[in-house]
Amino acid sequence: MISNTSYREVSRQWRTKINESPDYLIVRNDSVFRAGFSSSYILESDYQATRNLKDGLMARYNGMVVEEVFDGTEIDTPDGECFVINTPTDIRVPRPDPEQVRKRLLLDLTLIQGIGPVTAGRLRRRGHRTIEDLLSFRRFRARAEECVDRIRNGTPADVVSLIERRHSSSHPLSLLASGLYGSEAYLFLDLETLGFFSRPIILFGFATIVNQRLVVHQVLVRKMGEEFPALGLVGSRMKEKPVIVSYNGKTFDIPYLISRAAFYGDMMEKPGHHIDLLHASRRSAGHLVRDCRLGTIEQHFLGTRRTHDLPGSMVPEFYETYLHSGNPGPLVPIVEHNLQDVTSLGKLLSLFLEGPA
Amino acid sequence: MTVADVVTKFAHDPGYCGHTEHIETIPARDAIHGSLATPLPEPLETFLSSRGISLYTHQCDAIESVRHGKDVILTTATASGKTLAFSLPIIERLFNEPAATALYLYPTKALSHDQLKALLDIEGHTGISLNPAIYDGDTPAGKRPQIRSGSRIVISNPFELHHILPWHHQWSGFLKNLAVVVIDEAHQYRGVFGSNMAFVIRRLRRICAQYRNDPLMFLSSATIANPEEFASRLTGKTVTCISSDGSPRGIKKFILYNPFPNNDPSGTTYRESGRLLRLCMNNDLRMLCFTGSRKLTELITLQVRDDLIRKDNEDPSFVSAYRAGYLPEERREIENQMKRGHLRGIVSTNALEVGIDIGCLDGVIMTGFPGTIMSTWQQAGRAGRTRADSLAILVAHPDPLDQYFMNHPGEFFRSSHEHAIIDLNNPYILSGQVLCAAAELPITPGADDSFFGKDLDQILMSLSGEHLLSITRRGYIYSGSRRPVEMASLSAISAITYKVICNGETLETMDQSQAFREGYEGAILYHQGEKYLVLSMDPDHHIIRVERTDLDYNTKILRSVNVQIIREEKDRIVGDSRLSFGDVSVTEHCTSYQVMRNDTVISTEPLSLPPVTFNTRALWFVASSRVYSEIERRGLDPGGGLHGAEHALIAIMPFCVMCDRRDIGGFSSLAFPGSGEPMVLIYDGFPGGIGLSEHAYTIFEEIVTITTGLVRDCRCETGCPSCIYSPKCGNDNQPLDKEASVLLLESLQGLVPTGTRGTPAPGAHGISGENG
Repeated sequence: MISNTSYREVSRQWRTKINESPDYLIVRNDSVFRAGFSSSYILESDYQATRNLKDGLMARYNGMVVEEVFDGTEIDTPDGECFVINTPTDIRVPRPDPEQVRKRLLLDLTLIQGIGPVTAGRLRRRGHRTIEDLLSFRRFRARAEECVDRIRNGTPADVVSLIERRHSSSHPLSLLASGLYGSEAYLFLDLETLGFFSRPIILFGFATIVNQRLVVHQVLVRKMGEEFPALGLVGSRMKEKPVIVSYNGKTFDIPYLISRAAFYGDMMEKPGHHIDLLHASRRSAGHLVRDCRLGTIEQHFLGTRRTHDLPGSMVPEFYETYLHSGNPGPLVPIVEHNLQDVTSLGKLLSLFLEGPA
Repeated sequence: MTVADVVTKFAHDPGYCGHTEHIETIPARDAIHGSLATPLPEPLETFLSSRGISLYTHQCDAIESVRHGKDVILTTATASGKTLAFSLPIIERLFNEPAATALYLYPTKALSHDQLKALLDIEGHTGISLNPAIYDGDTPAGKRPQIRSGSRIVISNPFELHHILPWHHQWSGFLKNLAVVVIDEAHQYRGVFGSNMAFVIRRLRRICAQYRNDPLMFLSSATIANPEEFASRLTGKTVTCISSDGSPRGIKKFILYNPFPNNDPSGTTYRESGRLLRLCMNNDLRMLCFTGSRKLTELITLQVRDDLIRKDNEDPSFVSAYRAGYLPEERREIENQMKRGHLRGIVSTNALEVGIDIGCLDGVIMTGFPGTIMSTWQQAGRAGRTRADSLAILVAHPDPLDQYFMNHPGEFFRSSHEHAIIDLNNPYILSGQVLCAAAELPITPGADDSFFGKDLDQILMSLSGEHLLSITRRGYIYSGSRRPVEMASLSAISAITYKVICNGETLETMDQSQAFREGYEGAILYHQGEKYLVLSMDPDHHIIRVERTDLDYNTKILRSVNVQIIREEKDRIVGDSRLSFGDVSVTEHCTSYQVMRNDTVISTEPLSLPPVTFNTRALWFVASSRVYSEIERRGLDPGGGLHGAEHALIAIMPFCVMCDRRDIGGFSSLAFPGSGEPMVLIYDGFPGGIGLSEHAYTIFEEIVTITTGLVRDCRCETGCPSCIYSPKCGNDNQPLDKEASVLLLESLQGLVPTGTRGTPAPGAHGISGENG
């Protein structure tokens, strides 16, 4: 048996190895040409700035505890305690008029199987503007009847599945159809994690709409033991809300949640309806912007530009500093960054719902 | 001409018989067929009879074991139908249980492809739906989900499995129904790689347990001395061995051939190999000649071609080289030519040792001992895969083990001494694997001790101290920011590892002390028989850059070694001495290196590397005062005796504890630091130790007996490269005293030397070290 001292020594070596090899690449002299094909790079000047930011925060919040810095509440769950920061915002997410939505949907002739864009164009030129107009065509009657019935009388889920039979879920009409659920059905979701995969979630950001205003809830994992109850809490909120809204959540946030639940030995279902705004953004502006990071898209659609934002790739390092030191300072920009991300989801969705379909 | 005619030449022809040390006849054996308690499912029975296959006893034993849910290791000979032995019962199980799945693990990709072909063949003929598929680093992302959900037999390798395990929820269907895990070529999982593999398998089993499953383990391996123990350590389960081989074989003549009889230094192993290859080919035998390196492969091929033209007036295209670097088409062309009969001889690096079918060979020539008895038999098994007579020739190097076998053929043909070692206690491997596991499922001390051992609690505490793990209600979870499977390499041991990079491709990884020993700037480095020159070593980013080279020199490190004993864990009396085992701290300082051309030092170049200190495990013994005074009484050099004994023990150790000579290091001193006693110490060359000296401690008498035979029976006068010289001695083989070494070794066997009692001379020094 090797003595305990040596396990401590070996553990220190693992820690050194982690610290020496971060997940991101620092691009010296900000030369973007050196970034190569690495997906997570950070310019040297930004890196220095964030280092300074961290040092400043450490000094400012020295000696304080998380609960003094963040105005949160402790919630008891069957699996343990969670710490939730609630932030009401004045962001309005419009509730589309269901009647208008259904009317708008009936204008899309391509919802009928067998009608593509070309046929639809030809039919429109001949004056057939809505699906209801096609009821008089023997060829389309049966399908048009079914379509009209579902759009007029179907549940939101029925209508959405009808649309998604013919269009991708990021299609403007799919987004519009999701409005039938009512804005109370939305849950906006954005996670902060210690890495791309198989590491803990440290902040669960989600928002709901109360009285047409976006309210952000952030479950902050103060110590690792809180990740598991937080998963349970967020999972149960997701079950209550039929429509998940995310940015790249189909690829990242939802599989991440499922894998973390599986890590703890629990099953988590995929959400029934999921609007991934990355896909919608790429669809409508992918060719106009240099990349589809949320910050870039915000700037494009909303005209807002984030200053002092923490680069996502630095989140793990900031959190680890908090974990080692107990100093809540480095958490401040993480919580702020996440708050911005979640509110942007609300703003972007509003834009897509109001925008010309 | 037949094998027998050629053997006669070896026995009587004056050109050869002087070098033939021994001819062993391994008798023919008839097939022993077995029967099953109940027949296999009808499609499988039909398949077997359509192929004319009737099962051997060991295949029947294997099938019944799987049927009864027993974990087994099968150790029958090369070409004895091992693949069928595990595939038949697995397919039977998959036939009877429509949801059941199986996982086949192979150490290399080439073997995976052969296996896939075999399984597709069975599936095609039986109609039993298996959807076998390879899932490894080359599998396109688009195909992966479909393999995970649809394949019932997945073929993969340890590296891929290591990376798959954190994604286990994506594999939940497969893992829930996983009936059998096949670990083929299991003997390759020894040393550092094997010790890591043991924990990869435990991680797999822990995840399966989460899905309420406990899959059966089926191992297949070459012959080793400790199959059950090895398999049980590798899998963590109680494994039984099936070794009685029912497959038939023809007579095999095994010739031990010594180019250096009576220590004649003018012999050359590779020239003799080429000459023997020509002899056999010219007598119509189809031959395969193994060499240790690409360079030698080319040299022998050129020499044989040249001699075929000049001396034999034959077609030089009768012989061809074959090595790992060839394209698949080139390889296939060579294989086809051999099968068609135009090609009579292939010269190959060890790449052909496993897999790849080149049809019926009459004989195999091994240019030097391949390093293990196990490999020797694997290579010898390449000839006579059918029932015909076959030939195997071992052409000796001047090295100690080669020469020992030449002088002691009985030992060579005796049952295996080689113990395959897996160390479950190396703190680096253990803690790295615990980190990986903690990112897969929470770890519970107590419940998970069965996978990670009794130190688990301490490891969890230490890692938590660095915030790499955090305690939760569900157990300890990984809370670092890097993927642990990326940090914990399966083939390296310490947290700090150097990558050896050639043209952007990583050839291998080394721990720090090995990097300083072998990867310094200017070093000549060998990797899989290829020669490389080290261009630079970057100690900040732990990168060693190399390029392929054909330079005609080699390099040798010169360094000082210092050892401190930290803690003696156990001790016992061996002969006249006390043998101890425990923790030591080794400091190696590489100070300069020599540039050598054909054993001649051309120059000595300085190095400016810092000393490296690591803790490891070692055995050591003190020369008894009785033997010490006897050595002095005879006017011999005690320091040379200790040093020579150290070298010889290190040379023999790989014969008993399967490892490479460079995996172990030695240290001897007339006045050992701390105690001032005359002592020899042998340590594992890896931080934390890898179980080699620990096992050597338990079988030390056996090692000493063989070592004494080696040195005493060597025909040299004062020591030579075949006994007590070490090619890698960091002190340039100074001092050495053969007679004193023999006395010392004999004293370890309790063979009390004559003479009077005395006390060791204090204060004398002559520190020596080898990491040989």
